[in-house]
Order: sequence, then C-alpha cells, then structure tokens
Amino acid sequence: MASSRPLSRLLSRSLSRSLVGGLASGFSFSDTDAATYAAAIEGDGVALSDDQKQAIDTFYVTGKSGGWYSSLARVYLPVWQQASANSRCLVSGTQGTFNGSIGHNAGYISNPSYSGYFDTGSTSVGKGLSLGAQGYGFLQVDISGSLGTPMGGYDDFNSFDNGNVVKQRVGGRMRFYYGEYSGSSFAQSGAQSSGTQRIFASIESGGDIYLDDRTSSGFNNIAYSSGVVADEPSSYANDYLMAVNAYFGYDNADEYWGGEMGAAFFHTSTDSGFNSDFTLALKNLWEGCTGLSL
Amino acid sequence: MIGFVTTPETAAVVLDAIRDAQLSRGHAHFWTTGSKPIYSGDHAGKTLIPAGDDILDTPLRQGQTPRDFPEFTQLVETLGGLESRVDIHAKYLANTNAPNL
Repeated sequence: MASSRPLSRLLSRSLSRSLVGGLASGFSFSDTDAATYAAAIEGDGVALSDDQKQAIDTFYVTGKSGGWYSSLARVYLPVWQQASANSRCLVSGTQGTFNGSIGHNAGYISNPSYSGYFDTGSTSVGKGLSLGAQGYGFLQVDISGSLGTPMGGYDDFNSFDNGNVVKQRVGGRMRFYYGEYSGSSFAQSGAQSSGTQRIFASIESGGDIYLDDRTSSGFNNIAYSSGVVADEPSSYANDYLMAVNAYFGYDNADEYWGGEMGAAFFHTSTDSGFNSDFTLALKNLWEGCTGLSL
Repeated sequence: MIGFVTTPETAAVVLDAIRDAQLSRGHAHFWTTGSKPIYSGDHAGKTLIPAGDDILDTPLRQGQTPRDFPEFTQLVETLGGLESRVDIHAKYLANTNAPNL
C-alpha cells in the first residue's frame, strides 16, 4: 500500500496537469485590443475558433507594427451572422445600429429587400475625418443588382450636398465622392460584373482622390482625380452602410444598396501607402474569419 | 413592405421602447425596425414600422431574435397584433421632394 501512494500521487498530478493544461491551452492573444474585440463578440454568442482568433490578433498586431492602426477611425467586419457582433467597430469600441431588413450571412451582410441599412452612429467629421486626411472603402462580396449606395452620408440642409458617398452606377461602376456630393469631386472604378469580389479603398489627400482596390490577384491603383476636393466632409449626416443618409435636417435613408458587404472602414491617414498595407491586412482578416477567399 | 401603419408619435414611442429594451440589458442600441414616413396613398402622413417576417427573425445575439423579447411581443400586441400588418407598396414610401442626385 505504502509503495502505491507515490504512484497514485504521480498519476493524480499528471491528470491534474493534463486537465489544467487542456483548459489553459486556449488561444493566447498578443494584442489586448484584439482580445477585447474577440471577447465582445464571444459575449454576443459568436463561437470563435483558434484560427479566427489568430486572424483577429494578426490584424491588430500587423496594424500597430506597421504604423497604420492609429489612422483607423472605424472598421466593421459584419461576417458573424448576427446583428450585435456585426455592429461592432474593431477600433473605436462603438456599435452602430442596424435598421430594418438586413441579411446577416456567413461572411457578409446583404440587403435583398433594398430597405435596410446600418447607421454608424456618427458623421465623418465625428469620426475624425477632415479635408486632406480622410479615406473610406468597403469589401465587396458582390455588386447590387440595381443602382444604390454602399456607404456614405451627405448634408442637403446646412450645406449643399456636403459629404462622402460611394455610389454604384451603371455597369457596376463605383463612384467615390468627397466633399460636394453630386459635383465633380469623385474618382470612379471601371465596370464590374455580378460576382466581382474586391476591397475598394479610397483616400483624399491635398484635394486629390486615389481609388485603389485589392483582389485575389493583388493591389491596384484604379483611378485618380487631381485637385477636385475642396469641401470638408459632413458634420451633420451620420454615415450609413447599405444605403446613403440624405440628411435634410433629419436623417433620411435613401438609395438602398442590394449588394453584399464583408467589411467597411473609415480612416484619417495621409499616407499614400495606407491603402496597400491596410487592404492586405483586411483581406487576411476577412479570409481568416470567414474561411472564404477574396 | 410589410409592417404596421401608425402615427408618427406612436412610431417614436415604439422605437424608443425597442432601444430601451437593449439598453436596459446593458447592450448598445444595435438593432431597430426603423420606421418610414408614408408620403402618398391612403396612409399618407402616417408612419410604417417595418415588421415583415425577415425582420422579426433577425438574428440579434445569443441565438435570439426580436420575437424572443417580451417587450417586442408586447409592442406588436399594442400595434394590433401580427394580423394587423399591411403591405405598403414602395412607391408610397418614396419621398418625391428629395433631390435626385
């Protein structure tokens, strides 16, 4: 009996270590902001795999080491198949509000009835964007079957048509406006066919608009408009996703977009290299969290 | 669009209640039915609270939909129950005074 005690203790310790090790073998985040975001969406009921946690952690770590994280004003990743997690911004800790009928799908949100939208809860100025230091874009999983506005808001009440808006036009062309919406202050993509996936990233610097994209084949400069922006973004119209906020002294959703969106973002960078670095990280984040490929 | 036709004042009360149901649970105001002014037709001047089945089945969080919230069920009853919903054509919801940009 006496000789069996050490063995039983050894087995007991081994079993305890095994159990503790098993419980403690979960993913360990390198970045505290990544851990905070992951904990928030897990609190919403999203069951994150270690691969998804790694994708989230890598996004934050890459952004901070690359120097572009601090330029992010809002980043939304609506891939989690539910409204609460999809409403969370990855960088500000804020949540927007989904209005009406929006499809919360695996990897993207959709708007099949052309009647829902997402209110980011703040204007572009409120997010920190300003003339000469601003940009926005989104991850397109598919274009809309009809014309519409993937994201933006403009003020038609206090100042004439002032705001940042991207509008899907004939042929699936995406026109990114800055400042005076409906004027000539835009840069526009070429035609797109149904099923086209890409990240659109625009940036305004010194009155110039650079429009870039990232696809499965890499990063591309697709449009440039020189010296066309002279107006500040709107300080009245909250930015919407899946529609435009046409502000008439009150918020007013209009031009609903029926496409599919996997991410959206606003930034304050003045660095011409921002779009390339950020879109690569966003692509990796979206692919790592969804298991899909851009 | 399927929903409840009501006055703008009642719609505001309903939307406040939907918001408060989330805030009272310690959540952000991350979801709402929204409301839409009715600009023309028989119900011009009234407000539509969208309430199609796609909206009532929206996945909110923790596997719950709006139907799982007692407050939401109560609001639906206040508006006359699901059977009192009507289908308003989109043309009656279009603001013809809005500039076409």
